[in-house]
Amino acid sequence: MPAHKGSDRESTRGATGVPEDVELVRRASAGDDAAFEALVLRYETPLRKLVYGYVLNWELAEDVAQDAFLLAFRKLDHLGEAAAFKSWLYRIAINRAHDELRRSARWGKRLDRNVGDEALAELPAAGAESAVESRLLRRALVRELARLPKSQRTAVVLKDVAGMKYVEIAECLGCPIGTAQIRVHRGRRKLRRRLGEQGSRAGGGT
Amino acid sequence: MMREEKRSSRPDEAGGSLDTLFEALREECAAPPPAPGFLAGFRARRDAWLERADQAATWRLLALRLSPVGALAAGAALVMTLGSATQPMAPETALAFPVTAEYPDPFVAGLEEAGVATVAMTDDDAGYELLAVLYEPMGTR
Repeated sequence: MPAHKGSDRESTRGATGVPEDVELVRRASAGDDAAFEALVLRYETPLRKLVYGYVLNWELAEDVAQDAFLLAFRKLDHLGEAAAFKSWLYRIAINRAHDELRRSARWGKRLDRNVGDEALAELPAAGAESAVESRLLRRALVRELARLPKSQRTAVVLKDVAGMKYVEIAECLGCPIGTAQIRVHRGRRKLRRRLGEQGSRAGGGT
Repeated sequence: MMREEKRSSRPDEAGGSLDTLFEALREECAAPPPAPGFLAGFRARRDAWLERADQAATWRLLALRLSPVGALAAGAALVMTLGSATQPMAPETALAFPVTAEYPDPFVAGLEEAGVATVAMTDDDAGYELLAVLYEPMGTR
């Protein structure tokens, strides 16, 4: 992963008294299950958030995140550089989330259920009409996100949903920062165009 | 009427609408529900996988002890034995042995000695190649 050596990724930051990722990964590789569980506890929430950006269902996000940790546990000896654990783990989770979406024909149903229920529950108390409006818009957004090419969708979700910096996105995707920026830009452009077209169709009644 | 109202807030009407939608999604992501059973769930998955891996290792070991040809012969013999159980073969229709060769695998040799099957093979540069496993009903030899 070129050009990211100066990044301040969490995995190399040493908090006082808390073992760094590198240390935990080394211990886990040597068969220390407690060390790997410490990594699970450390990345459980960020990973669930990340996966949620794809699947929009907290239960499923937990399921996929646990699966990603299991895969990481099984393949830990394939991790070349211990310091790269975080981005490696995120990549595993992203791929698992993609697999889940591809395998599951429930995608459309999830959109209905989640954007309609979980998301709606958090909307500010406004008129029912605006709540329905927001629900429709978010459903449309997530549907269009799912239609993006995988590389663009991943980049857009990491940037605009998970709120990652470009340098972190590049690490996760294993690409240069410029490539990550281009993918985000193109993905957003497509989303704007498609959502705009939908808006025009709905508004024009065609 | 409704359509007109909806149109006014479609994402592309204002450049910032997409950002607003993403902001809403980010807010959702920022407040995940607690998952107190997460670690326990991971442990359960890990332990189940470890158990499966142990079982798989046992079967792998068994498969290694039986040579590939031996395992194939055993499987074929089993299938043929089960198949013949419903259709007993008369002694006069017992199969002849078109080709026979010594095979060093004790398992296959044992099958032959027990009269359960005859293994027909050819010996070439690559080693023994199984041609057929000919079932021979007990007592017809």
